[in-house]
Amino acid sequence: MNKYFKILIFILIIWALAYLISFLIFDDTSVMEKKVAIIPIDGMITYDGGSSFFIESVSGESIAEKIESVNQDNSVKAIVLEINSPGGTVMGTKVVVDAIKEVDKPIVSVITESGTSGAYWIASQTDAIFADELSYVGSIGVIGSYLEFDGLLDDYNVTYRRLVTGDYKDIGSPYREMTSVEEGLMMDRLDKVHEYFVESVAEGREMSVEEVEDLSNGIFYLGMDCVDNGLIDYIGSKDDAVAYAQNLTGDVLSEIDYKDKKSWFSNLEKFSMMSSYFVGQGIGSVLVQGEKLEIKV
Amino acid sequence: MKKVVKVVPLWKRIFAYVIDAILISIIIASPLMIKETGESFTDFVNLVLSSEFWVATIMVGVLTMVYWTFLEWKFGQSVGKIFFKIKSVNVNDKQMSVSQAFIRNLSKLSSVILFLDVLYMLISKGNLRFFEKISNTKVVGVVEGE
Repeated sequence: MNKYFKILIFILIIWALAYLISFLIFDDTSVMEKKVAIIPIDGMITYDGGSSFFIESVSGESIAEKIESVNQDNSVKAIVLEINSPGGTVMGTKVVVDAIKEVDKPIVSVITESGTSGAYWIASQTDAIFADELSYVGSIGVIGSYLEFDGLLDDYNVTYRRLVTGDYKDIGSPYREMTSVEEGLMMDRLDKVHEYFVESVAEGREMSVEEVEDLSNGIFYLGMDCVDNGLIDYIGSKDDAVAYAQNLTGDVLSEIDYKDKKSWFSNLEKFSMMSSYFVGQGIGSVLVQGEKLEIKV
Repeated sequence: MKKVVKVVPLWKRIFAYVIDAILISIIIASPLMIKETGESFTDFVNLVLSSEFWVATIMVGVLTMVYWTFLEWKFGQSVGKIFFKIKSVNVNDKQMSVSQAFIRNLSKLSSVILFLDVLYMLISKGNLRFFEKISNTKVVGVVEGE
């Protein structure tokens, strides 16, 4: 065999060996890329997100997908949920709660301004909760309130023509008064959601159901009271939460923000929509905003 | 027939080394370090503190020594030396042993040691590096076809 060919073979062997050793030494990702993922939960949580003119909601499904994604990402060693939310719909929240339960790496939450109701439910499933002394925390409870317009319709001589095939098909319709039987049925469902909520918080916080029940009258607490009552673990900021998460991993982590970036076009679209809305409101065509019954936590 | 030329200009040895260094960085250092390209100071700290870094660094050293030792023992020439038609031999102008090839290339594991090793050429007889002297080896020129 030609000398130069032998040298070429040798070089290729060395090259392959270097790659093989590299493969054996390093896992899927580099030691340089260890990260803590910051996932913001900002605004009212609904299942699929979407925004109205005044309320911008965040998609629980989207948050859950982010959590699942970073949980599978080997370079992410810890997760911090940055929460500023009043809660949201039951399923919008639960889908996030379910995603957190599948996480197998340290996950910490920090409540910046408000972490109430469903947002607190989410926080309660994490390994530790941080909040500011003046953050709104708790408000454990379920709400199904809605506006009824039947009196208003009467004033304007408008009749709600009820055409249903089941007795309760239009339960919660704003155009007629709810019967006491219907109210009982609705409260039964709210109680069940409430019970589920309380049990889940108790499990997440490692508290007894009774302890959580005592705190679940719907009132929110200030962060300064929540270390004592067990709703949070520490008074602290986002930086404190990140440092705590790092301590749990034992690594020095670089932060990576999973905040949704809004495009220039989407901001323009929102501005355009709001302008149209206020013009319409000026004309006075909007007397009643239809509000459907929706159970929220 | 090959004729051995005793005196090899220093620039030939330097350029031959540069070619080998580039080749080593491509075939050895790059595969072992390619995943460690960080973006921040935190990344750098993580790198230096990690056991993977030190294992990778040691492996780069081991493979580098294998490259030099094998090629100079078996063929008397690394890739750079082939380009510049120079050759490593023992003091008797014969093929060197594996241990001789290993010792003469030890200084190439560290740029500081290599610098001092080359500096020794200024005071040595016959343009010998210190590690060439202790391994009883030298570099000669080769003229083909004579």
